[in-house]
Amino acid sequence: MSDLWYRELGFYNNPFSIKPAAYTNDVIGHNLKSMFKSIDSGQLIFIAGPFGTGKTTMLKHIIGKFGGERKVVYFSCGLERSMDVSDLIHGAGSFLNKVAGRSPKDLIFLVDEATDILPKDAEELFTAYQDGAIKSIVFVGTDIPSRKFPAGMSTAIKDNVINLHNLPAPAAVQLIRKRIGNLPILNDAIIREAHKKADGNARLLLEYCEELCRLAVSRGLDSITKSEVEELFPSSAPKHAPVKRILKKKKRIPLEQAIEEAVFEVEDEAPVVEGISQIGENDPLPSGSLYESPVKRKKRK
Amino acid sequence: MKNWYRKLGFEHDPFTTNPEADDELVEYQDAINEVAYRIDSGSMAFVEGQAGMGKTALLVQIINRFEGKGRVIYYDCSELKKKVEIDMLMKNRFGFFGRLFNVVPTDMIILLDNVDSLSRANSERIKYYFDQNNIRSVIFAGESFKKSDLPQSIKDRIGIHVITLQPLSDYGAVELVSKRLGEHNAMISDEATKLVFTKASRNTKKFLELCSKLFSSLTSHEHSITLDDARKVLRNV
Repeated sequence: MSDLWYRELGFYNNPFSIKPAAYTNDVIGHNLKSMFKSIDSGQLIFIAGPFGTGKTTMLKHIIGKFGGERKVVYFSCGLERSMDVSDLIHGAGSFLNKVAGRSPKDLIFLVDEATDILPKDAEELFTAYQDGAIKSIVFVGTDIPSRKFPAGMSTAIKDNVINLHNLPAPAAVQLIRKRIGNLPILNDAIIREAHKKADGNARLLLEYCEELCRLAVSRGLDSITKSEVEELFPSSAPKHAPVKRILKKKKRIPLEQAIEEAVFEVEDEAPVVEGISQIGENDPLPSGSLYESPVKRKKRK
Repeated sequence: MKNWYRKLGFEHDPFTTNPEADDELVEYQDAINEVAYRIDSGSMAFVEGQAGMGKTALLVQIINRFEGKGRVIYYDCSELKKKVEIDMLMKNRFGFFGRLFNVVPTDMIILLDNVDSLSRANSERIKYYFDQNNIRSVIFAGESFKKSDLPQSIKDRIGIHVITLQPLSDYGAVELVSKRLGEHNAMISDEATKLVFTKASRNTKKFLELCSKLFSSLTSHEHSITLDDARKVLRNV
């Protein structure tokens, strides 16, 4: 469909996607390097934070950094079954290892929804960790279930709790800028306004910005002002209230003007084919450009 | 008289409440566009409305719009007592070999009708596949988003994307009837239609059922159904 607002702005996919997989270099306001270091040095880590603050995104980054060598095991405690630690450990190694009966070394366990972990599982995990079968465990959850953890585990985690809070305003601006570059539709003040409306929640902020951009495109506005923010998200309305329906009424441009504009655009375009091929693999993507997963790219060829 | 509609030249009851793909929904174009946008932009959304308001009809339209891409899964959660297993739904898509090799498709669109609650395992799966981008979009349909028993993590991902279906206006009801009757749309007066709609407490499904009842009892009429006729038949409703 061609009437998607983000296609009109030159994005192939929704730039405000809340899926952590959609964009890679997106973590704002958290020190990833120190986290990677403590994982590398074999510590227990707990990532805690309310909904929508970026827990899954952090996990994605850990998988991106350490995955690929069959060393990362992901398990979600929300699946309503016991996690059978030894099975997971043996399942992780390479085929040769399995034949030889060796258990793999340096495993990293990612435990999602750790708030719902079974005490038995926590104990098994901790013994496996103490035996050296697991190098590091990263727990993710809304808050720390200290009661379910064995005593030694709680003390080991204590120093390595990463609390994800709501975004501060400058980080919010940075996040949105990473997604859409310097598009004039949303200026910094408006992003701050949306950030205030979203109570600093990253996911809600992305959703709000999506609605704002959509409104701007459907009305043919060049930039959003405070009055539109107030219109979509009135202060009196409760948080998480559904957005009022946006009516798709496009400005009709007279045909002659449209042709004139189209011709003008073509003349204005410089040949850019060479420039694109010069961007190396390791170069950072230009801001606001699309990220596609490698799998998709292959298919297209 | 059972087959009043045969007399008029219809093969089936024109007031059927089974949603069909080539139905044209009255007054719901905005809602359909909204849902289609949510799917395109890859979000979760919740369509809420009381029973008989046209949630399923809307989902059928969505299936119709996206089916060419071969990645829509529709599942009615109230059907039978079967349990939904998102895992299996995803893997069954590629048939036997898919199950054999555990291939999971990408970019799926999942429509879950009549969702009151999801088991923890399913919601966890949905969340996982959604975050992994195996699922492009999930559309839930149920009576009320607030009262639904979805886990908080899903509710949070739905966020502000709640689409509430409003009851038809009087004008919409008249339009619906005239669309269903086609060339026979003069068979019932607008006032009579409006009365039926009020009697059905503005519920679309009930409204269609009452229309069917009205027509079957007044089949021998030569002139069009007037307000008085409708009053007579629907006295007890």
